Amino acid sequence: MPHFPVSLVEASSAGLIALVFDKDFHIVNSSGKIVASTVEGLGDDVKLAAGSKKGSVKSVAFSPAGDLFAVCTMDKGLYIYSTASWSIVREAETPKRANAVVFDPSGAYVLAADKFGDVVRLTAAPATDGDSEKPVVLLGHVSILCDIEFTHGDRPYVLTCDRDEKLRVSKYPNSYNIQSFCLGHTAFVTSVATAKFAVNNAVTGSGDGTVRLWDVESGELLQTVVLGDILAQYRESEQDQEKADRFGVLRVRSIEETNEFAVLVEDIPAVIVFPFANGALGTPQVIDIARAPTDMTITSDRLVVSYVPAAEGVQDAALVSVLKNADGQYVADDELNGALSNVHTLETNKVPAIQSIFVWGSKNFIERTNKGDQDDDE
Amino acid sequence: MADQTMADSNQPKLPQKRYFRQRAHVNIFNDIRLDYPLTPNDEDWSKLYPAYFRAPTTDTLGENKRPSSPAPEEQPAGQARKDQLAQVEFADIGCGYGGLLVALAPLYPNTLMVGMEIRTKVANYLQQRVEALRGFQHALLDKSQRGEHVDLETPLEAGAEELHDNGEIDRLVPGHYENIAAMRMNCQNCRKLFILFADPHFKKRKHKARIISTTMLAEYAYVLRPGGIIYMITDVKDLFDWNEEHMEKHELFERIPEEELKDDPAVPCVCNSTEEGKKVARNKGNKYLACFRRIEDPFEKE
Repeated sequence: MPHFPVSLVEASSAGLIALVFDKDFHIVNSSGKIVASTVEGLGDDVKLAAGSKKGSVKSVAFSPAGDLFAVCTMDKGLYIYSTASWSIVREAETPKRANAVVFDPSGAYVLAADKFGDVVRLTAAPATDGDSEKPVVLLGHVSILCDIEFTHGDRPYVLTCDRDEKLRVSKYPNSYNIQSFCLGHTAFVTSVATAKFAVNNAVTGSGDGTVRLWDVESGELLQTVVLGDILAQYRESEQDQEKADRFGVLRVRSIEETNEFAVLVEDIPAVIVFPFANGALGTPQVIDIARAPTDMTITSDRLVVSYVPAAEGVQDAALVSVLKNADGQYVADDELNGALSNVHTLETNKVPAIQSIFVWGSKNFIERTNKGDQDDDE
Repeated sequence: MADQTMADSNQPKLPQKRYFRQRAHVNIFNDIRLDYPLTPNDEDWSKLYPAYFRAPTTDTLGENKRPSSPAPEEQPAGQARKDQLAQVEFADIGCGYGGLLVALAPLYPNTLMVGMEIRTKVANYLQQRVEALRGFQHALLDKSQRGEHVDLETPLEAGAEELHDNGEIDRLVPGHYENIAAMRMNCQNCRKLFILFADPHFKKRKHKARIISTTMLAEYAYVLRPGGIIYMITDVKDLFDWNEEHMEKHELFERIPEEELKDDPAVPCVCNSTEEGKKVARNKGNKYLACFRRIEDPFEKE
């Protein structure tokens, strides 16, 4: 029987990596061993994490200190785990399904960005008896939110990107006060990354086939990288012209160790790594990976990539693999990949089809009959 | 006399409202095809305000065609700086058929105002109306240049709505309606923002579609410069209470006391000049007015 693919990967500052598949997740340590999981019976040294067991996991985040782990599910559940006990220390229902979740820089609050355009905020600390705090709205777009991130300056800004081409920069916690709008993308903005080495900048990825560098205070567009120029070789055999010209960014992440930004593109079996120097993105490295990816996270100088299911009949295809930085070049981390090859997800009769980001990113999505996307509200 | 006939056939015509009726509600959460600029710098304002903006040329595209410095404070009519430095400072959100803009145009002849209306037909009506009004003004200007008598002297009064709020077609007005325009849209550095007789969305589940909400107010605050004013009026008490509650709760707005509003020339227009406002007056309905000033963020002062 086939296994669920890993849909999301997220690393903590303490070196743990969350591998999310359907309604469950494994937590692996820096040597690739499972230390906690929502799946029972993996061994004595694996802590059992209570699962929500209802909706599929839509987004996850670790707190800056790595002591808490937040999980948002398709059925609007928001669960905060202690990474020491892997018990749920607080749970709440978000008003709408959250597409992205993040802790604020102090780790005191968790923020969920939802598909209705609102960002809600909830205390992160463990709930005491009778504490049934509900998330409160912090800010809102009239759009679908795709990602949320904080900048790393003395006065952090909260960045939210949406389906309608925008990146909004809001003050924090007084987020009713908008600092700027970063305008220039021509399609949905899927992912935003910030870095300690570039406190005034944000890098966004979009369905318009570009990666853009912004000055967050002014909203000024500083640089536009056209992915088609870098990735043309991967589309040479593509017959469908529309698909051949389409590059949709799945994820942008910063690599703090090496002052780089890594970009992952839907359907492209490669990771693009841009050096960041003198306030600009430099000439990128393009590193081949096994298959089309689903997500990517960074743990110190390593890139962890998860994959779409392998073609039928392919045995022992990796769920995730790791690239490490060897003298500036990214190469396969054979040791960690070996350990991760022992990590399996649950079996399933039918692997759920992974929906292209261009389906919901299309402006006609809401008017379309809700095929494949069961609307859980109203 | 051939000349005269020519002039008559070239007479501008005001559009007739009956050809532009559209139902009052639009579901704003549907994906609506809106034609909007990628960034504020990409907007070609010359289409809306030809007297104030040059059409963009390729070398100025995205650079100089948008105003970059604030327009000067009110100047006497006829001395407007009709160059690329003008900027839109008043926005009437949900302007409908444009009664307010047409009434305000001569009162603030050197201020550019935009009416934003989501109903396509209604927005088209207003733009045609503005263009027709400009046409009448041009004809009058031509006439005065030929030495014929044109009434330039009688001053306009803010309260004399029946005089000018349908638009002057037989006398010159300051600004010549070159300063107003309609956009089918849902601008920064605004001085005044008007939200007049908005769709009340009575049903509770539709409240989120109301034009004033805590999260939308952040966007209005963003486009208003500190000191800028939101004028809000409605005939629906329930909507007024909702708006008032949300506005008063918001950190970036403060209520303007009624005494201060007495001297504001825009207030009579707000109450009486819109088509909705007239309808309410005809039906002897109540009008609830509240105005709020955009203030500096108290949190940032700490």
